[in-house]
Amino acid sequence: MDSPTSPAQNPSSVHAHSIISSLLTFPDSSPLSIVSCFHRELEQALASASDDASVQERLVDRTLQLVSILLESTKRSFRKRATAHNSSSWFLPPELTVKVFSMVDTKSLMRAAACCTMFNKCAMDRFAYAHVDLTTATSQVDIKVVCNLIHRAGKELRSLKLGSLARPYPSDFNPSLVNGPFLSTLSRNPDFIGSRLKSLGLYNIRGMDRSTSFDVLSVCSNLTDLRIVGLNDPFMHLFKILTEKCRLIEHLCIETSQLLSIINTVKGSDLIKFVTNSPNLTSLRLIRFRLTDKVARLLAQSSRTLEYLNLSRSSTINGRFLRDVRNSCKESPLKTLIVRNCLKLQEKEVLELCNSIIKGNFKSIRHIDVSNNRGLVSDDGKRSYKPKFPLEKLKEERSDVTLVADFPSPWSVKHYPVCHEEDDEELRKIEMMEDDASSSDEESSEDDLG
Amino acid sequence: MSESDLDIMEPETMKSYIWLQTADGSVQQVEQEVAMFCPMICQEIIHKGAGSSKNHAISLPQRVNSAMFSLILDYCRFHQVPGRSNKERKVYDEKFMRMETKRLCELTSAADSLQLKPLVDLTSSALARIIEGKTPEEIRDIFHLPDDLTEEEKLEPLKNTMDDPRIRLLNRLYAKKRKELKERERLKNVEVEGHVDERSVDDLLSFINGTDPKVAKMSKGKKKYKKKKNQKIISSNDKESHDLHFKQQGVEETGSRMRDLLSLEDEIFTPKAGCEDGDIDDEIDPAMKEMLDREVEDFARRLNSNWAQSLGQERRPVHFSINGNNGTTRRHIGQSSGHN
Repeated sequence: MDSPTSPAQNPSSVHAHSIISSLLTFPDSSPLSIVSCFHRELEQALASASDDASVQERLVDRTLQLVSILLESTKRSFRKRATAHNSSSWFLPPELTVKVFSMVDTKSLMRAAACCTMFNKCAMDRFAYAHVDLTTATSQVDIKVVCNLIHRAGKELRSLKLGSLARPYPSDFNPSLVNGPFLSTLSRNPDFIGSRLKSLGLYNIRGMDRSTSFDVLSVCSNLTDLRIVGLNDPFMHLFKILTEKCRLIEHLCIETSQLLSIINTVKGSDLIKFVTNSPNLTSLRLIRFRLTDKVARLLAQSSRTLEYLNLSRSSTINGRFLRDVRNSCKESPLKTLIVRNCLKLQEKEVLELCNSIIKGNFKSIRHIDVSNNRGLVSDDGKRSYKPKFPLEKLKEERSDVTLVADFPSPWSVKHYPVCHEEDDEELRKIEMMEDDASSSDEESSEDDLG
Repeated sequence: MSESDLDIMEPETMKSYIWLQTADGSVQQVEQEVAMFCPMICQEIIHKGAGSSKNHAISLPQRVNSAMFSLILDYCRFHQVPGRSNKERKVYDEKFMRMETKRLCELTSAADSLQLKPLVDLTSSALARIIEGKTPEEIRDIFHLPDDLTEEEKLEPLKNTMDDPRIRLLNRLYAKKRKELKERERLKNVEVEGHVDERSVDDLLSFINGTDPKVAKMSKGKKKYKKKKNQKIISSNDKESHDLHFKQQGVEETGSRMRDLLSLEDEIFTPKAGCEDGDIDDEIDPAMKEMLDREVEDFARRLNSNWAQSLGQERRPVHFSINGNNGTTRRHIGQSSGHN
């Protein structure tokens, strides 16, 4: 195991070649014997230079160097072979790999990028960032990361999800995480090509209570899908912006985390205006909004395109709007009406609705859901868990209408009723979101004016 | 009589069949409606009129072997019936997607070559669900992909070579290094080589890194450190690896959180520790030659001359990476010079 010390170029390199090739083709005797042989040689060399400590040190250092060079070189060859193997054995063409990557949330995308060079290359492709979903990696996402991802996606960014689906504790406040002020800077970020963005999801983002928080929407003129979870007061200017800037919105889902003030027709004028003037709005979900029945009626009636209306967990609706809806809603295309877990929903209103549908009104409706974990309010003010709805007759007369009225008894485990087919996992989670303060709608509104 | 009856009856009850030949040579007959569900086959029939007889069978693309083809046919057969509800189709699709991963990949590529978009979407999302939530180790296991990334490449999936602030930072680091080098020239005259060198390099590194934990790690154990030093010398001879080294430092300074995002699991953490021991690799062949050719006399002298040399060489790689589009360009540089 000694190397030539002569400075001449050619003989030493030839010698090196022969040494190395003989090392590589070394007979496969046990590694222990190779090691012990190596050790013996090294010890001998050290012993022969025993008088000079610096020479010994140098020898050891050089040997270390050599060996590590060899190791690195072998690793590199292995990697080259692995790369070649990957590119030939992987089944999908790169475009399809990129497509698969675009369907994966961003944290998993980063992990996939760390698998092999082929994946890495595909993960750097712009199209892989078409759907940036950062909801699974909340604690690590900060402003730089988001900017970086937006830059990577460039003009291919089609959907962006920021925040976390779980409500954050007030104690984990980290100023560098994504928050309201950052959102407002997005509108001025040159990398952020908002006009190509189709879908935006903001989940429980802090600091969204300033007037500038929704500026980001003003650059997203082609937005079709907007989900905001954890909306705080004041928020009516959101609807102003939507009316002006986001004319192409088709699906809107908003959930509020606090108990906002009651929204009557005056306060909710921006909201009503938005729904009326929005040319493409097909589905509207306002979860935990304290709407009055009048507002609910206006929402259900004013849009010519609205097909799906979900006003669940609204503690101020008592169902009167259902009367008006079925009467005046002749041309309305409303197909699905969901008022789950509305505390004050009255049994008699729903009954009247059923009867009216049986008679033939409300032609467009296909699916109604009035399920409630706490039952409906019956005529005598108590809660009724087994209201008598004319279900068989409904089936007879209007077989295309489904009425979901699930009232789990108070002793059973609360389970979530069967959802409409349009509701995906996320929407269900959003509907069921609870406050950290654990004051659910039911308890706090008992104290409210009855 | 019965025969003639049969003759009259047959044309009415008989469905039209298309002949298809898969990549591995087997020829099959398939009902026309089912086959027409695939746009590619549709086109072949309409534009080229093929498939009407056994001899003129439509040959399917290479990626479609007979096993995959029968799967695809099942899919088409179910979905081309118009009367099924959305829910039924969803349920069928869910069941259909339950197969082992390799077959899923094959099915995706087969469906893609037949341009059967709904099936491609379905299989892609099934693959996406498989990838979701898994660590890189697990993903490699599932798809049988050997690991061919270097440690620092794993740590920098969010790296962006077009980052201007980082180029600026790099230049600043070069300036700092030049200053350090001048200092070391002065100190070089002292013969306590190991100690002095260690300290100055240590200072240099901590200066570059700017973070305490790194310094603490690096000062652990002299021998371990010497090995690191050796590797740094080796790597300093190399353009690309040095470039990578600086880039890594730059990234650390500006985006340490970015790395936190990526070094989520322990598996990534351990290569990180290993990475700090042996920072860069690549391009050992020319370095090795140089090492073997030179006299192993004075380590300190070589250390300094190497730093100076590499500083001269460094400028070029920076320009390469600016002009390059992404990491692959740099990798090409590395590989091409490795072939020398």
